[in-house]
Amino acid sequence: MSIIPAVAIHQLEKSYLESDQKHHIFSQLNLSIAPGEFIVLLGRSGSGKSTLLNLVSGMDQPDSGEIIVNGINLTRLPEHERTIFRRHHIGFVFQSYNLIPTLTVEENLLLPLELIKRINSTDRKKVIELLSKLNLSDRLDSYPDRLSGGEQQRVAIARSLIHNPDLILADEPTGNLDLDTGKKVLELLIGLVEKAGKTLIMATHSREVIGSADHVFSIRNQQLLPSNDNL
Amino acid sequence: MTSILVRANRNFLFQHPWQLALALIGISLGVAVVIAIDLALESSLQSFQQINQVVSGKTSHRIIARDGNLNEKLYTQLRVELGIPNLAPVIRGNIQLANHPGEPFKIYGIDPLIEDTFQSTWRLQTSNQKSAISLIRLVSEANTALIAKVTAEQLALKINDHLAIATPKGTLNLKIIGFLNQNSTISSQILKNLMITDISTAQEILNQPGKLSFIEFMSEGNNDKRFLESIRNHLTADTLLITSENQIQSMRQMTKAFNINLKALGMLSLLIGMFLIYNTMTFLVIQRRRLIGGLRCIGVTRRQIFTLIISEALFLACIGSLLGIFLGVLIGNALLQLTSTTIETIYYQVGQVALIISPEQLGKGMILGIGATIFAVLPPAWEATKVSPTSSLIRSQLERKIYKFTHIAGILGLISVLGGVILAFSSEKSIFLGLASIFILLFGFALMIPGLTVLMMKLLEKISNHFLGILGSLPPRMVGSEISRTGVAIAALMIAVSATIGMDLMVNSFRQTVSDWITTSLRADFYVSALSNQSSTQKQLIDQSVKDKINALPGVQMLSSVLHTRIISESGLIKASVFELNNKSQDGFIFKQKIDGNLWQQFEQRQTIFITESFAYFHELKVGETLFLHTKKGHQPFKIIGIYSDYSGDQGHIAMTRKWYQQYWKNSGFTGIGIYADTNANQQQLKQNIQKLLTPELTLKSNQSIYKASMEIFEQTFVITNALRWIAAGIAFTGVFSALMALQFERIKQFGILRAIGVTQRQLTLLIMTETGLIGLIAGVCAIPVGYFMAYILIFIVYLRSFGWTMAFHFNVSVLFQGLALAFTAALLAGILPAIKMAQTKPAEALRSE
Ligand SMILES: Nc1ncnc2c1ncn2[C@@H]1O[C@H](COP(=O)(O)OP(=O)(O)OP(=O)(O)O)[C@@H](O)[C@H]1O
Ligand SMILES: [Mg+2]
Repeated sequence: MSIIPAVAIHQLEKSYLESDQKHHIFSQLNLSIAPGEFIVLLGRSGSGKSTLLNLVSGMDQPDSGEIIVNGINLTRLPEHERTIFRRHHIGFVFQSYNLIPTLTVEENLLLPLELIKRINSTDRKKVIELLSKLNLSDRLDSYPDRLSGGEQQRVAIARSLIHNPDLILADEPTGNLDLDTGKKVLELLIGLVEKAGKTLIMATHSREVIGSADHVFSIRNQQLLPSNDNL
Repeated sequence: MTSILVRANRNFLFQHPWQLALALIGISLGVAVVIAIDLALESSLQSFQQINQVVSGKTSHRIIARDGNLNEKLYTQLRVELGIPNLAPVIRGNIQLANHPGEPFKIYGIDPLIEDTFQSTWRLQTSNQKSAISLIRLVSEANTALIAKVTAEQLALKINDHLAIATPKGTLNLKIIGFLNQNSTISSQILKNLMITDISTAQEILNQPGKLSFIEFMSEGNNDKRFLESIRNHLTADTLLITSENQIQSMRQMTKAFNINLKALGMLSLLIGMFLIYNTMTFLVIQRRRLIGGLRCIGVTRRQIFTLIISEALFLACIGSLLGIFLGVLIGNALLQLTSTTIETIYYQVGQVALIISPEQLGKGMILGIGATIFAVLPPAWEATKVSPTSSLIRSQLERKIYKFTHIAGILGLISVLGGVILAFSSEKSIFLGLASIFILLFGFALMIPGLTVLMMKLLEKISNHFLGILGSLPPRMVGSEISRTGVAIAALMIAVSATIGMDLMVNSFRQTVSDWITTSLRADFYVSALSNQSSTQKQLIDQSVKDKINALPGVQMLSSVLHTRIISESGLIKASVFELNNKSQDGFIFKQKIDGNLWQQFEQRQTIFITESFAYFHELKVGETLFLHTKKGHQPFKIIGIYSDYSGDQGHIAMTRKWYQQYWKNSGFTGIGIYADTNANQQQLKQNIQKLLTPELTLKSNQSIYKASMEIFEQTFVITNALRWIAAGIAFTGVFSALMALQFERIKQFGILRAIGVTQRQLTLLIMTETGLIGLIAGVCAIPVGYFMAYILIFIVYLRSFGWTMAFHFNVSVLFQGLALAFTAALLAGILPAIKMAQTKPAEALRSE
């Protein structure tokens, strides 16, 4: 009996058309990640880290190849189904926080839950609990633009976890933060994900996280290669 | 500013042709409407002056008759008995060419042998020997005429060719013996379709032997007072001496209401056009935030950024205004015929009209377009200077500042509304100030919109949060949080919709009032009236003999009659209706004051008159006062004993009985005869019998068909108004559309996030549509009271001052619902495209945008 991989990618092809020229990002890319693993994606700017995360979350579609998340083949799903899938199974952390500016911190966290089910008082408790783990329990009613970058990113982390997804995708979560804050935010993220036993794929430039990663890949020549730095 | 900087921007402008087009439409439509109205009205007046220049040359005074026809004898008298030298007699009228029926043609009969001092256009060319001879031939040879060269070419006529004219006595051939001189001061349009003959030829063609239309002469300075006095002494009760200036001024006065009301609509279009410009420039600034941030980074100063945006706007303004002027000339040409007809029906004949374009008017259009653009562009230009590359949150910070500003705007708005109301009621008789008060009110209400919107959205947010959850509460939050964008869109839509509601309510009330009035006035079963005669300036009248014959018909119970004529009063020429009434037709009068039992007895037996309420308003007369009228027995006092409703003409008239008219003025025919059938008479039979008695110039109509025809005329008077209103609404709609487009474009990243956390395309579309629907609803809800207010001011202030009419406010709920529906659907429609576009944007792409 084999375990279903959290993410499996077969023969992925992805290119962009830029003024009539095909610009290849990935060709024949393969990947398999076991549940609960922490994967770090390295690669220079423009190598396709964000593109890969977008493909895995179903926000983007490849030219060919297969992306299977939790046993579900995303490339075969229509747009609507992919959205519903994302809603249930994926949590996102972006470089520039990307909270909804018109919603308070609490509402930003409740929104992913609301998309799944009716919100009740236990959900609110859950939000408060999670926020207190992130040292943000006093900012429940603040609007995002009143928070510092580090605080916003902590809220974003909470948002990516609140609906209990199987897979968390983080795209340079510390890119906009200073070194110290970045470190703390990373620790929180990795700690929480590990404790919950979730799969985490993180695209980053910072090498500090490499130590706690299960695998480190880097995108080179349109392929995913185990990173040399790890060796 | 460096040229690279300018180029970086200009390229950007041309990469967004859609937005560019919207901005240009906004500027040019606004300018076009204002220019067109101005051109049309001024041209009508100028054409009038130019035609005088052609026919009589330089003159200062004119002698006219109250019924339009002067006796030729007056001319001889003044010239021979008084020995006055410089007199120019003129007879004019409309004629038909035998081979081109339907083509309007005017004839002017003049005396070619009068003195040189007039410097009329036809006269000036006599310096040349050949044409001097042709002038003499005009008198010496019978049936000769001069026409313009353009006309001759059009009709393929050469000198000595003949032109066939249709006259009441058959076709008459006129020999073309020369061309009218065309010179630069006279528009060639004026000379087109115009012919000049000597007086007797024109009299014969027009079938008015011994008649003149007017006599003109030149009198300079005050030392001519005695001279003018001696002329005045020779005038009868039926003739009047007026100055040319006076005449132009009265024409201006008469068309003032018409003029101002149309211009107000033009201004409304421009106002809404300004919103479009504001919108486009804002959109362009938003889209370029990154570019501007980059420029700031490399050392471009705030002032340079400001200049950049303003010069870009100037560039747009110039193109837009030029387009607007061009369009304005086109629309003006179409309006011209309409305005001159209006002037003709109100006052003297204008004659041939041509669009006369003056550089000042075009300059005015340019200034208007550029001024409005700059004014509208100041806020986005200011916003552009605030863009800084370091602060990514600048938008929300800006929003917070604007949030504070909504309070100030609300207070300013309230003050404006109060000021508008005070102005409306304190500006006495000024139409201009009455309309200005509407603009101030609209502006005030528009200023209150952002604050009101924020309040309403807060409330709605609470409700929707409770019932619809967080996603459901997003639309009101989005409307409220970006009030600097949504507020302007709502305000513009509100103004357009309230103008629609206001004018609908006004027109409905007016229609109802007029309908009631016509129904009340039409007492007889049938009416005989005279068609206006094509070939003369005078209306054909019905003979006494016709009336007698109708009266003798079996089944006729009684008759009433009216004669529409003009009388000279202390204040000049006034319109008068001369009645023979019976007890039924007396009920057709709606009096504005309480009437006592012997009113009708007084009207019949004493030297009294009624006046219409317009007449009372414009001449500031009340019941009990006295009006002096020029009669053949000298100036006679007529006591005003009643003021009654009449919506037929906008300067009003007086009414008297035929008995008194005949006593003081010469007897003439009738304009209309009302026929009252016996209760048991066969109406069909009666109608046929009457018809047999009528000559072709006379028509017989039942009261229903008169009612129908009158209501049709009523609807026609609102054609221009309606067209202009829909133009304004159209501009507003485009504005709302582009505002929503810009708004959603700005939020594309937010939508990307929502999509990333699992909001579906359908949910997103719904979200955006709900937001735009909300925008429409707020605009509609606010437009209802504002429109109501506007209708009130239009009816009780503007129309009263324009025409002296009072009408009842007929409230109509369906108009309000229509307004609400209009706002809602307009916003929803405007939201569809942005909603679909946003929902279809790939979330990955949306997240990439900043
Ligand atoms: N919508 C698009 N159209 C065209 N090219 C695109 C598009 N999206 C991404 N690319 C290109 O794909 C390549 C990979 O982009 P991606 O954003 O994935 O890089 P990245 O590794 O995340 O870089 P960074 O570290 O700077 O975030 C880049 O060369 C980019 O120009
Ligand atoms: Mg990236």
